[in-house]
Amino acid sequence: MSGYRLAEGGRIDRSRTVRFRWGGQPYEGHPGDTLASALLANGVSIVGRSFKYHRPRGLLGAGLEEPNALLQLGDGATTVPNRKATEVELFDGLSASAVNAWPSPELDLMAVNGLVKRFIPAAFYYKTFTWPHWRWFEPAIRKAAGLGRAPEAADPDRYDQRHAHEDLLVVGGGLAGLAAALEAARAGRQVLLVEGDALLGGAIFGRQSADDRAEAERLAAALSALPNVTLKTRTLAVGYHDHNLLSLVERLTDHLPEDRRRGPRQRLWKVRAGEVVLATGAIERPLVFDGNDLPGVMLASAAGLYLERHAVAPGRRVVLACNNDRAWGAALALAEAGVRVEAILEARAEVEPALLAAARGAGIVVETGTTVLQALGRRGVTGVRTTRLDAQGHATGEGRRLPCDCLLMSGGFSPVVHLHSQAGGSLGWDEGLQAFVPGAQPQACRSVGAAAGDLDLSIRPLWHVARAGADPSPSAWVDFQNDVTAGDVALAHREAFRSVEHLKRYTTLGMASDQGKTSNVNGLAIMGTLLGKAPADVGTTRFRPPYDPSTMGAYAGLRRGDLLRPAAGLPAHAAHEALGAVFEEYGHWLRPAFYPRAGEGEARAVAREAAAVRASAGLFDASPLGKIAVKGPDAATFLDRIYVGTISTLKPGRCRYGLMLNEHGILFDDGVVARIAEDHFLVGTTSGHAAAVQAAFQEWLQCEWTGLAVASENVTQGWAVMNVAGPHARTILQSLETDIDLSADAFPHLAHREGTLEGVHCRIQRVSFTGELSFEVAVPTRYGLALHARLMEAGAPFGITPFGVEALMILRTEKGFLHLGSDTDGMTLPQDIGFGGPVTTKKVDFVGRRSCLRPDGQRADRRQFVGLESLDGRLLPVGAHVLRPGEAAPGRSQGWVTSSVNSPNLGRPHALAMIEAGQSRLGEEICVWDLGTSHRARIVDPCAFDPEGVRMHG
Amino acid sequence: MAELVPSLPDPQPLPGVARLDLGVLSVRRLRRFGPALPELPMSADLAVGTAARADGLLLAAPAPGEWLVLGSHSTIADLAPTQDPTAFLALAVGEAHAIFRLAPALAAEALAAYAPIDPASLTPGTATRARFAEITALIIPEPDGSLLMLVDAADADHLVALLAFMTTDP
Repeated sequence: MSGYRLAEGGRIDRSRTVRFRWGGQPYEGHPGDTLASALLANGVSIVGRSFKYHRPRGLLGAGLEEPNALLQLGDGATTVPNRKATEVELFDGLSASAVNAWPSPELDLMAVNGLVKRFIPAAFYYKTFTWPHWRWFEPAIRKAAGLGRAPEAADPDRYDQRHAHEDLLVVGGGLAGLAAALEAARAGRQVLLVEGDALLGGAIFGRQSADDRAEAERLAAALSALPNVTLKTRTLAVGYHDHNLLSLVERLTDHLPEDRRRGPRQRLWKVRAGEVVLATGAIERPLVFDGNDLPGVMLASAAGLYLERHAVAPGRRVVLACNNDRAWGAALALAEAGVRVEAILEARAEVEPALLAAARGAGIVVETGTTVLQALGRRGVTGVRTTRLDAQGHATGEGRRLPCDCLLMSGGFSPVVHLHSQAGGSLGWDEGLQAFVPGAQPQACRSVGAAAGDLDLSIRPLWHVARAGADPSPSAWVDFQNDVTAGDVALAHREAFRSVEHLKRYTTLGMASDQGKTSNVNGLAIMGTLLGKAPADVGTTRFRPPYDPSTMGAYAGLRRGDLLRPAAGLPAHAAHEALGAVFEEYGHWLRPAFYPRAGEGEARAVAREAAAVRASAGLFDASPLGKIAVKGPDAATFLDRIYVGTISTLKPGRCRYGLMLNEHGILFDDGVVARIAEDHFLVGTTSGHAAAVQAAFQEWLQCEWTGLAVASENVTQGWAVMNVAGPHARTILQSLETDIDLSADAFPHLAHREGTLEGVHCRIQRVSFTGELSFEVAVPTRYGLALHARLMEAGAPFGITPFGVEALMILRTEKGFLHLGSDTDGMTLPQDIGFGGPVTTKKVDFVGRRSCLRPDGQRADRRQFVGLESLDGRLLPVGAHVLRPGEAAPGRSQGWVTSSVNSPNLGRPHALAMIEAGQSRLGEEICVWDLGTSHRARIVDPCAFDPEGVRMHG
Repeated sequence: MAELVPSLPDPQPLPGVARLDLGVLSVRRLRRFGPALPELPMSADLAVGTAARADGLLLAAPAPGEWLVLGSHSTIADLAPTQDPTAFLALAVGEAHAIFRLAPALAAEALAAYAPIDPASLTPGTATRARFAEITALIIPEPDGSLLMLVDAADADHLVALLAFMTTDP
């Protein structure tokens, strides 16, 4: 191919020059060019290398159907891999290079792959490179696969997202879309029209291009003048979802020089439309013949577009091979522009007389009943070998050799039905069009124009050019991007991968960035000829969003860094910060993990905090613990049905541990339930789980137990809760102004009191997760910071130590206190943790009870909650598996370590685990195995510190 | 007697964004779908998804059997115990919420950026509980075009960060 710029014509600004670099070399173009048209105008013929065989490839298309010209655009943090040169608007300073070619597409060292092509057909990796083990070869094959380079630095650009609600959304700004939009707008509807290209008008090419362009401009001008119309270019609809929700990606600054870019780079629109009109056009199909992937072989419509829009001729001696009359427009337009068109090889036996006359008048030789048998050349097309076709469409071999430097091909047109199909629409086969067209559509959506199959087209089916009886050729390309040939389709057929979905997965036909836009129909039709089935009976693969590759940034939007997800802040966050806390996210709460002092790492700080709590006193921010108010005459009845234990016998002013199951009997939540009054309870939940528990409460109340007089309200965030724990906890609290009697007799363990503290209404519960004397003091949220400060001040004489979540985990592990989600999983039943009694004895039914009684729940060898003592003094890894001593690792796992700490208070490690029949194996020595390392351990009671609970009940 | 001093949030965290220090009364019917209405200075017979103002109070009905009353802390504190405890759970929950008023210019932009609701459906007199980016908000349009937003207290900082992101040039 030797493309060149024509002296006039096109829709480019010839008065200005744009300088860009391709593969490190400087080139020039004009505003209005794409990178593809500029390269073509500069005579660049090899724009890339194919995926597997590294064959030289030229431009095939002119739009997003382009499979070959994939490039790395820009560099550094803003580089984008695998952009199509046909979609990149040229700007000053643009720098791009081909992917998958080194050092350049002209000279690619990986082209050696082509020498061993016959050994690496489709799906070779399922059959070769397997001895001695496929993992030996996997890294090299993975490194060789893939295209482009992802940026290594964080993306500095910003990506925006917007919601919109539209009366009518028109997708596609070609003539059909513009006309539909104008009709609707004049009828008074609010219309949004989006077009992925920079220009409205669509794919205009051919001899009527001037008239079509004028009509497009007239329609666009009329639309622009209407107040009820919004036109958006550079906005591509990429997804059609439920309930008429569409996702669009708008390119805001990609087309500008980098130093002129301001604002967000791209915007993702989520548009809910009352109605959608799909005017997405049609994509031309290649012909499948030997050598059809040579540089210089191009789709006819693409050549027409390059001519009409960019005044670029694709070659100096052009031949057209086609099977339909629409393709003739490009050839005739080229001839009219002064390009030498040698011949039209028309597969149909009969052609409209007007077309024949036009060709004759342009000096173009027409051969009917003829097509291309083979494109000739090595690094570019130099000629074609023609062949006549028999009545069945087989090549007879009779033909001649024609020299050319550009071969245009057209195998028909496929309506762009992707969005229609994503919306749930069905497809039908149009025999006249030889293409899939939209069928029934369940959503408020209709297709118009070429997208609906409204193409005035006469066509002869020609899926693969081959002699009668010949096998599909391994040199005839079907999927240019994935290097899939007609021979590969036949291979899939031979190996029984014959359904269209298997064909895709086995050969990779239709995968990667072009998603089969130019290959799917040809591929399935070739499979159909092998099966003796019509294309309609072979069917298509499933269409999924996005329709065209979209940046990750557009979908991420603002969700990065601090805005990735909301992290709830504690009321006393400023105090924790001032104390030097290291914060971590626990659930969705940002909480102090530990408070390191100067020179301390995490382990030392956590150990110091855990020791300090037991030695004197600690202060812990327990605000995230869930709190749900449950009130009403039937509150007690309701909670009895929810919890494993009995709640109704709880007296006002008392607390009880509550264990909640889901309907499958699996542990769902646990916490302390306090009875505030006869009809009023305060239900405690695990941190971060209050919303889920409240939702469960509401589901039961609204859907199942609608007769109960009880309501629940999640009040978690209305209270700031500080936990004072340790031997001096009571003394510290008693130094504050309060009307609550905090003495041991008046305020026993598991009691709940309300009153005032330092002039503020408060609730205090004597509950303990540390195993120490412990009070949880709750005040309204706005007083949380002041309460924390006051407690630190009051506790200073006793060396009160703020402690974080990590120290809490040490303390509760020493005591053998369960932590839901750490020590339990989606299989744990209450009987596994020692709460099996109520399952059989509780008088009232409760959620999950029946599931606990299933035979599997009664097995004696179920994993049970136990403690583990390390016999070799080493910390047992969490997740390590439990084996019998002497059993060869990895063996059969009998359970695993769920929690494990170095205990400063015990002076040794202590762990918790779930082990088969654990409770009946106390004292047994076992092996703990983790990734090749074994430990000796003994099964013990979970509680290793103060088993009588003297400190907690003090 | 020493008293704890409350920490009050910034009443003007961003231009066009005011944080209101209001009391909030949550009233829930004990029998969700019964006919009982709470005792309020205004008619509580609101359709779900609507709001009404009277006597300095704003009443919203975000869901069946649920009412939210916004007003001064003292008024809310006085209202809570007046509700029939055999028919309603009435709690002052102002501490658990953060209330913002977005100026009209900011309101439309914020909704477009973060909420999937059709703005045409958000007319004065409506109260809509909806997703706002990754948090939940009760959205109450005001007659002057401003927007009241009620979010969980712990989400307040995140909401301000969202609005700041939206209004900051990259």
